[in-house]
Amino acid sequence: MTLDLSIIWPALLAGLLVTATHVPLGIQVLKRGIVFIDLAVAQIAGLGVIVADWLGYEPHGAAVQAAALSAALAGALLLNWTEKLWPEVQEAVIGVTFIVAANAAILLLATNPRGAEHLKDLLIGQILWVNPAELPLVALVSAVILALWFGFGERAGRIGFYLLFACAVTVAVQLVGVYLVFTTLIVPALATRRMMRGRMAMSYALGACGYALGLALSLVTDLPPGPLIVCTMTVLGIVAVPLISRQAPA
Amino acid sequence: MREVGALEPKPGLPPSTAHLSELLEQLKRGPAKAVVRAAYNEPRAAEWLAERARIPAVMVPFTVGGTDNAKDLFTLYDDTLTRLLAVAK
Repeated sequence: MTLDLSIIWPALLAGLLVTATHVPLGIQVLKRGIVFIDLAVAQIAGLGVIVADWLGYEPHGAAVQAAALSAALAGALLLNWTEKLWPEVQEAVIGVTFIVAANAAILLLATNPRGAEHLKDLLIGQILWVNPAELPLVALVSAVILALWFGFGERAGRIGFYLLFACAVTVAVQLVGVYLVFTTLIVPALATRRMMRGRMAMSYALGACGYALGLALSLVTDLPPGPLIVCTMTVLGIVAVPLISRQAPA
Repeated sequence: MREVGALEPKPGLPPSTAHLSELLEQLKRGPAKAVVRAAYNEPRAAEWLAERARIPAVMVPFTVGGTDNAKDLFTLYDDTLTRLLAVAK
């Protein structure tokens, strides 16, 4: 067996970029108790892509990116508004938004011969198809998101959070798919929930190790990398929980 | 026409890193003429392999209506052959 690193490194870099933006956002998502927001926003971004495709725009073109981002931002503004209006049922509103966006996508794709593939791609993604040429732009967008997030901090407020979240998820979903985005967002934040100090560093370490180990396992086990990364990161998170609670101050 | 390898050996499942690594290694030893995909396949995977193995990727209509030119059984084969011949030179 040959260890062909030229296959691995674009995928690993993509994973690390997604980790970079999603770990701090994930901690916030968990704090707000709106865990399924990324599914909703990702699904709305996907719906934007499908509508653009339906209108006849070239896949992966600039128009499609613009459609995905506008749809996600519109979705984020909608959810920001519903949280202001009915904070007590925000999680339910997010759930309904996700289901409606997902089913609207099925309706739009019902007459599209590539429909099933589109839907599968959106969910599972294929981290190995990451084109190295698209990574510098992703890195730039991630840096801007992180600079705004840490720069504004609490002052970003609810709307700042929703808008940055929409940008981060739109970029990430097209790189690695919904399942990996959800895992990267929630698992590190959940595993380190009780940490007082160093939570961010520990979360980053969990995310990065999950991607590195999952990709390495895919090389030796002949299994697809996406689901392996999801499972690896979750196992690492479960292993980390008792270690963390032992060192946590009483 | 001879199949040299498959991008997605298990239909519906994304390929593993090990499989792609082997496929690339194999294509380095004996390059294929082209990566062929059907019109309903996402172009991303075929383009990925084409770029790395430095061989052209070609989309064939698969069935009537798969491309604008494939209007009936005859034009389906005409279009398929034209597309394959364009990269087989």
